Amino acid sequence: MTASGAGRRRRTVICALPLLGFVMAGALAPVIAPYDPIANDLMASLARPSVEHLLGTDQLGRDQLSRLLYGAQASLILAAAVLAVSVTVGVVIGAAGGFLGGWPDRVALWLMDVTLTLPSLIVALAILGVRGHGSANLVLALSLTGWPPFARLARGRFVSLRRSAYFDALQVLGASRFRILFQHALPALAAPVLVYASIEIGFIVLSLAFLSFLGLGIPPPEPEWGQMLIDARPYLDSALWLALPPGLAIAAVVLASNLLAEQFATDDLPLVRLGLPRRRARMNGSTAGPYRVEELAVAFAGRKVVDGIGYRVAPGRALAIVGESGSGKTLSTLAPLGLVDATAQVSGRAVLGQVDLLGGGPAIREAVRGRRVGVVLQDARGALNPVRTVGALLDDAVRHAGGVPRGLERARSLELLTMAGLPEPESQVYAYPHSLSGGMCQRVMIALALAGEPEILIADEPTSALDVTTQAQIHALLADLRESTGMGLILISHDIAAAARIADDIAVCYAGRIVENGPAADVVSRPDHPYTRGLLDAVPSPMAVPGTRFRTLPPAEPARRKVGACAFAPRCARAAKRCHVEEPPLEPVAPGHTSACWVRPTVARPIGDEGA
Amino acid sequence: MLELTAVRVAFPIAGRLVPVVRDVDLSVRPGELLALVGESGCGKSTIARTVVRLERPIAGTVSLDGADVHALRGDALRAYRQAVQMVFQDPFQSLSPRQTVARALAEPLHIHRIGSWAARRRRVAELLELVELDPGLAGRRPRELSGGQRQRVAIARALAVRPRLLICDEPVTALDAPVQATVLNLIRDLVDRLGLGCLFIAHDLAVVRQLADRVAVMYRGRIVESAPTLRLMDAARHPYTQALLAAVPRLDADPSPAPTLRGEMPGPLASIDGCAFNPRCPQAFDRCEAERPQMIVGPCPDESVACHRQNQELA
Ligand SMILES: Nc1ncnc2c1ncn2[C@@H]1O[C@H](COP(=O)(O)OP(=O)(O)O)[C@@H](O)[C@H]1O
Ligand code: SF4
Ligand code: SF4
Ligand SMILES: [Mg+2]
Repeated sequence: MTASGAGRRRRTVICALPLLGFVMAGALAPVIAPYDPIANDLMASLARPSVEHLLGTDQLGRDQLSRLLYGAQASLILAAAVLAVSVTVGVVIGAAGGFLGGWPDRVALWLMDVTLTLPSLIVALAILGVRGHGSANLVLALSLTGWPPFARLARGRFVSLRRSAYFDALQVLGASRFRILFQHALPALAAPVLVYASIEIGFIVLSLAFLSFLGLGIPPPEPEWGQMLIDARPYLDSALWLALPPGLAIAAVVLASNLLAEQFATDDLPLVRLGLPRRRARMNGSTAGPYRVEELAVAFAGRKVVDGIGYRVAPGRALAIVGESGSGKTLSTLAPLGLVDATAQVSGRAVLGQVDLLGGGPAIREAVRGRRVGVVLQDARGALNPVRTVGALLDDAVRHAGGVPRGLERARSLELLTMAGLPEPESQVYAYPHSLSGGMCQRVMIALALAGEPEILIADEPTSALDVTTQAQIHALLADLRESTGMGLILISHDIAAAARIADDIAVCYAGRIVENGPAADVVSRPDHPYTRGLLDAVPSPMAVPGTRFRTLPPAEPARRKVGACAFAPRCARAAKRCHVEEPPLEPVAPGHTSACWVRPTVARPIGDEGA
Repeated sequence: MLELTAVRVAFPIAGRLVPVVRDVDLSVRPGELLALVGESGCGKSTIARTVVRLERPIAGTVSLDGADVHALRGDALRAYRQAVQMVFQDPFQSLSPRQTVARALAEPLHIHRIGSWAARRRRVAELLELVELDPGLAGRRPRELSGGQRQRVAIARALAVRPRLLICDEPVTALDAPVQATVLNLIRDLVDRLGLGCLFIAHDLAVVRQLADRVAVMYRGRIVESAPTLRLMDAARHPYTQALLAAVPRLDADPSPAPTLRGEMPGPLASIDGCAFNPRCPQAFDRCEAERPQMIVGPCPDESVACHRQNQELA
C-alpha cells in the first residue's frame, strides 16, 4: 500500500527489459542473424550501415549485426554455464549450512566469507594464466568467486524456513528431512535464485568483455562483444559504427542488471508509509472543527472497494469504525491522507479545519501526515525501522513535525514517550524496537504519532496483535490521551466489543459502505442493522452457558456484489424481496443514529416509502 | 491420555540456559478440551511445541498413554506423529503458499504412506466436508482463501491422519472476531464428534467459557490455577486469573477502559523472588516476596491454585 508501489513495479519492469532483449537476442541469434558472423567478405570490408548491413561491416567484411547477435549468444551461453555452476555450488553449500545448522553452518559461513574477500577478476586472471584459455576455464574462473551470493541467499531462506511455523507443521506431520528439502524447501528457492541470477548476468557479461579485452576471453574469430570492441579500436576515427553497438550493448546489459539489483535492494521501510512529511510547511487554518469525510470512494481498476463513505470526528471525541477485514475500514481512513497504493482512484471530500485534503495534489496530504494527523498501525514492530533506536526514531519524528528548536528534540522525545506510558523512557531511548514487547512497540508508535500534536489520531487495529491485558492498557492510554490533548480519535477494529470500550460513536462498515452509525451505547444496546446484530452476537458472552455454540454470522459471500441491492442480503436472515433489487440508504432510526436497512427490526416499513 | 509431569523447558538466552516452562504438571483426558490460558511469552506455545516434540524438556516427562514421548523411536514415533497433531496460530504461515488445498491435505497421507491414490482423493474430499469447506476450494492456494478458510484447511490437514489428540495454539487469534466464532464452533464440534482430546491455547478467557471443559492459567512458566471451566470463570481464586477475566471487553458492563493489571509480565531473564506475580499483584503481602506459593489441590480434586492468600484461607 505504499504510494510508490506501482512506480516501483514499473521501474523494475523497465530495468528488466534490456536483459530480456539480451537473452532473446542470444537465444534467437541463429534464426534472426542475417549473415554468418564469421564469414569474411573482403569486398564489403568496413561498409557503413546500410539496408544490407544494418550495422555495417568490420575490417574483414563481417556483418556487425550478426556478430552482435552471435556475440550475445556466446555471452549468454557462458553466462548460463557460469550461473549453473555458481547456483549449484552456492545452493548446496548455503542450503547445507542453513538446513543443518551447527558446525556445517559455521563451515559454510567461513567459506562464504573467505571467498567474498577474494577479488574476483584477479582470481579469474590467475586461473586463466595458469590453466590457459578455453571456455571451460573461463567458466571455472568466474564461478569460483560467483557462488557466495547464491549460498547466502539459500542459507538465508533455509534458516528462516527452519524457524517458520510451516517447517514446524511439516515436522509435526511427520515429514522426513529429505521430503521437506526436496518437496518444499528447494522449489521455494527457485524464484529468488532466478531474480538474483538475472542481476548477476550484468557482472558476468562485463567480466567476459574485460577478459576478452585482455586477450583471455573467447578466442577469435568467434564473435564476442569485448573482442568486437578491441577489433574496432583502430577504426575509432573512421568507422565509429563498429565500436558503438557492442559498447552500448555491454553498457545496457550491465546498467540494467545493476539498476535491477537496486530495485530489489531498496527496502521500503514501512516508516515511509507513515508518511512522516519530507517537506516543512505549516498549514494555516488549523482551527479546531470536526474532521469530516464525505462521499469518499476508492476504486482499484474500476472496482469500487470504498463506496460513498462519510464520517465525522469532533475534537476530543472518539469514533470507532468496525467491520471485518476487507470491508474498507483501513482504506476509508488512510485514503484521505494519501496513504494508499498509487493505482487507487480516490474521490470525495475530507475536510480538516479549512482544508479539503482531497481537494488538490499530494502536497496537501503530505503536509498533514505526521503533523495534523497521526497514524498508528497494527503491526507496530514491523512499522518501526529496526536499525534505529527508539530515541532516534522519536527525534526524527519531532524534527519532521517542526516547532522544536534544534538540539532539544531529545527532551521532547522523552516527553512523548512518557505521555505514551513507556516505562523508564530515559533508558529505553537506547533500545532497538526488536528488544521491546509488542505492547511497548505500540507505545513507541503512539509516541511517534503524537509528535506532531495531531488534531486527529488514526489507530488502525492498534491492539489486535496484543494480549488482552495489554489491549486494555493501550485502550486506556488512547482514551486518556484523547481527553488530555483534545485530539479526535479514529479507532479501526474488527472487534465491536473492544470498540465499544473507548468510542463515543461507532460506525459499522460493510462491503465498502457504512451500514450503521451512531452513539456507541445506542449501537451496542439497540442495534438496527442485521450485520451489527451479527457482530454483537459473535462476542463471547460472559453469561453464556458452557458448552453452547458461539453465535455466528453466515459466512461471507465470495460472489461479486450485485449493483442496486443490499450488499448484506446474501447473508441476511431478515432479507426481503426489496433488499435484492434496491440498495438501502442510511436513514435515521433514533437521534444521531442512522442505519441502512429496508427492514426495521420491530416495526415493518411499508415497501416503497418516500424515504429513498 | 496426555500427561505432563514436572516438565521444565529451557532456552539459551543471553549465553545461559533460561527456563521458560517451569515444573508444569498437566493432563488431558480423552474427549476433553483443556484450555491453557496466559499472556504471550508465558510459555504456552513452548508447552504445545514440547508435546509435539518440536522442543525437548530438560527435566520431567511428557507421556501419551504411559509412554514417554521424547524416548520414542522408529515405528512408535511414527504412530505418535499420527496420534498427536497440531494447529498453529497463523494459518498463512503454516500452509505452503505454493500448495493447493488438495495437495496440502494429501501431504500427511503421502508422508505416512496411507491409502492408494484413489483413497487419498476420497479422504481429501471427506476432510473438506468435515471442516465444512466447499469442495470447489480444493484447487485454490492459501492466498486465494480467507483467513477463516485457511484455518479450516490447517485443521483439516491436522485431522488427515486421524489423530486422537489435537493441539491448537491460538488458532483464532489471527482471525476477525465474527470468523473466530465459526472456527471455535468447528473445533468444539470436531472434538465432540471424533472424541478427540484437545489442548487449546488462548491468550484470553473470553472464548473459554463456552469452549473448554477445564482451564489451566499460566503465568511466567508456571500453572497458577486450574479448575473446571465454570468454577474458574465464576469464582476465580488466583489474582492473575481475576485480572485476566476483568480484561475481557464486555458489552453489558460499564464500558470503562480502566486497565485491570499494571505493567507487563517481566521477561524470562528477570529474577523474581517468591511469587512470580508479586510485582503486579494487587493482593500481594510480605510473604509473597519471601516464598514461592506451592500448588495446592482442593477443595475438589480437579481444582488447584498457587497463591499464598488462597492457601491462608484454606489452612
Ligand atoms: N492495493 C490494492 N489493490 C487492490 N485492492 C485493494 C488494495 N488495497 C486494498 N484493496 C481492497 O480493498 C478492500 C478494503 O481494504 P481495507 O481497507 O484494507 O479493509 P480493512 O481495513 O477493513 O481490512 C479489500 O477488498 C482489499 O482487498
Ligand atoms: S436491507 Fe434487507 S438485506 Fe440488507 S440488511 Fe436490511 S434486511 Fe438485510
Ligand atoms: S502469592 Fe501473593 S503475589 Fe502471588 S498471586 Fe498470591 S497474593 Fe499475589
Ligand atoms: Mg485493515
